[in-house]
Amino acid sequence: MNRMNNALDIEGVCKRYEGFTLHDVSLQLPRGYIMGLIGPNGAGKTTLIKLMLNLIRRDGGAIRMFGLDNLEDEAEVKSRIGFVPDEPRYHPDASLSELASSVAPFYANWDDDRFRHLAGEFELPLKKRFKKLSHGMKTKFALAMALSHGAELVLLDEPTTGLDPVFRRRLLDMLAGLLQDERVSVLFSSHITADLERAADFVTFLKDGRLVFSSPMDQVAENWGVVKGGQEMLDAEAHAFLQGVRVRRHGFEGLTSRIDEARRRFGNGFVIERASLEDIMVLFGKEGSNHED
Amino acid sequence: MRTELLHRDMSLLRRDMILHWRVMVPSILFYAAFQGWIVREINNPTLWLVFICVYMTFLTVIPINVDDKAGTYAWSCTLPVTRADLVRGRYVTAWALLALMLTLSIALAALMPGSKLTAGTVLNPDGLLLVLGIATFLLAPLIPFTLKFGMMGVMLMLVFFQVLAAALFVFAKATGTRDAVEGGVAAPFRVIIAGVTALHDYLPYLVFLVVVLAALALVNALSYRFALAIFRRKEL
Amino acid sequence: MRVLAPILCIDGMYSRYAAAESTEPELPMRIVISNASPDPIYEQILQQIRAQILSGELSEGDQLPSIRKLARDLQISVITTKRSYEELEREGFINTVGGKGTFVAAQNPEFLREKRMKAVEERLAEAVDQARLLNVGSDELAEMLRLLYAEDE
Repeated sequence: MNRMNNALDIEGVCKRYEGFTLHDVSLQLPRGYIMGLIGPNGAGKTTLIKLMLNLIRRDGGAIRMFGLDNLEDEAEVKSRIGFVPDEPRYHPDASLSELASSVAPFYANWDDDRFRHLAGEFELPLKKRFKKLSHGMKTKFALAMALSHGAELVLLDEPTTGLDPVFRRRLLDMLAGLLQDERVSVLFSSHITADLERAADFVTFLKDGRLVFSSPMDQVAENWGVVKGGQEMLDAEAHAFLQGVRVRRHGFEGLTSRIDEARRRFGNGFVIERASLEDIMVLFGKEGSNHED
Repeated sequence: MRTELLHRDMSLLRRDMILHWRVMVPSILFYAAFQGWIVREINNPTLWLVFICVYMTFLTVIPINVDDKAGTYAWSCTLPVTRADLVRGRYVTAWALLALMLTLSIALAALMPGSKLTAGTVLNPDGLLLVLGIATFLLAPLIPFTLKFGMMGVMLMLVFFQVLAAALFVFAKATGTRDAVEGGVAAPFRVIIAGVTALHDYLPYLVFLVVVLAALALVNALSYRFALAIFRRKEL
Repeated sequence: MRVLAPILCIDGMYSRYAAAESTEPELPMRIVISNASPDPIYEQILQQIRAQILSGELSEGDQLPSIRKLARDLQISVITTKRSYEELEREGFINTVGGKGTFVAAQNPEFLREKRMKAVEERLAEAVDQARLLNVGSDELAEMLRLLYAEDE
């Protein structure tokens, strides 16, 4: 694949904190597509996004965006990124229109009409001070800011957390609208996986600071499955085959990335279904031995 | 490239003004009233200049303080600028504020009825050099220090100096060494002043000017390097 | 030439999706996507467009929505839509003209009939395999087939 055509190209990136390490993460997002970044809280999603933006120092690896190094060409790279943080923080005493006006000259492609249009659509009170906004409104404001300078890569860190389902749908539609321009790409981290199930072209799954997979959503949907059966059917062999098992009083659920092989291997009495992203996120790496209810 | 940097500097300055005018404008008005009163009471131009510089320094730490307290560094760092741009922006804002203050003060000194100071008090090479010197003396340590330790750090430093001064006072009083202690504290300042005075007296004036300006530029550059090293390490 | 726009339908709920930015008159192209279906989404799109071409609902030269537009309207990913179009193109149902769009291809009636006959043959071959496993002879199978035909009439 031509690397220049990747909106995002992460290679072997590491970050060590006390008590948490992001290990050797590599992934590519071609231009013109949406990637979902999933994983439980503390998996390293926000850390990875912060590394892209050089908000934190990386301990190894390389990050390229639009073919440019994210540190060497920092300003150029950032002028082409729109970022929506999980907890938007702007100057609390400044009004929304002041905040917007304060960044406009930094972007060659700042489009004030578009900002006003989005602000109107999101019903943002432009005269209000930032600190008076609700969490959902803060996210909407961050979104309006991120989408008003012709960004080629839109990074959204858990944007749907404070939003109601109606606006979440609208957000997904807006992102699909952005993708009508084939140069625009989106990276969207969320633990509300239903948002991503249909909209994402690629899915990257992080767990405990490690990359589990980064692949096209179609492949994930076709290859991952959930095997269900009675507790007594869960023998050592099944245990070894499955990539995560949850045992309950009435039976077990196990995760596999090879659904076809699972169909051959597990016969009568087992139920085998396609795994949703949520199944994968919840079951992956779970040890079956500890019973829970 | 150069125009690009200048554009970023100006954009950062403009941004500071838009985001902080709510604090800056009342502060500057208050300052103007204070200066209006003081030009009628004071006839020591050096002291008057020190007031301007201290006030400017106070205004300079406001944006750094807000960034620190409200957690808005991260937002600044997502803008299409480098960390070096952001640190340089702090110095640009500081010196721009100084220029604004100076203009305002000189106007007041000139226009205020009963003023004991005139515009000429400052608007001469020695006066300007003095302003640059005092401002550098205050800003060079303060900007890196605030970036590193935040407003809380500045407060603690002030408290520390207060306590230190009180302790020295008590110590001097108890041991009857007041003159020695005072002399010790003042010594570094005396040395600097004596040095500069000596340069002023023995060097041709133009050479003196170049030497002092170069020294001030060096101190500012070192402060900037130091601040940048601190800010580059900051995890947001 | 007709320009087709999808009718949005998710799990049985229809709503006409008005494509605001388009100026050309659009004809509805019905695509129903079910999350509950065992078939993957790309397969569902593929089957439905194919069926509409075979049934004559869509005819030669009709313009399909662009991949990205269809993806947006159906609220599915671009890659999924792309995969359906690529498969349809491989099967000869549609053509993509660079810079212009995607169109329903000219369907040769004989070729079409041949293709559908081939599908019938494949299914029958499958039935024969199953019959062999159960030791059902060709006569018995033919009798079954005759009965099935009679049932429908």
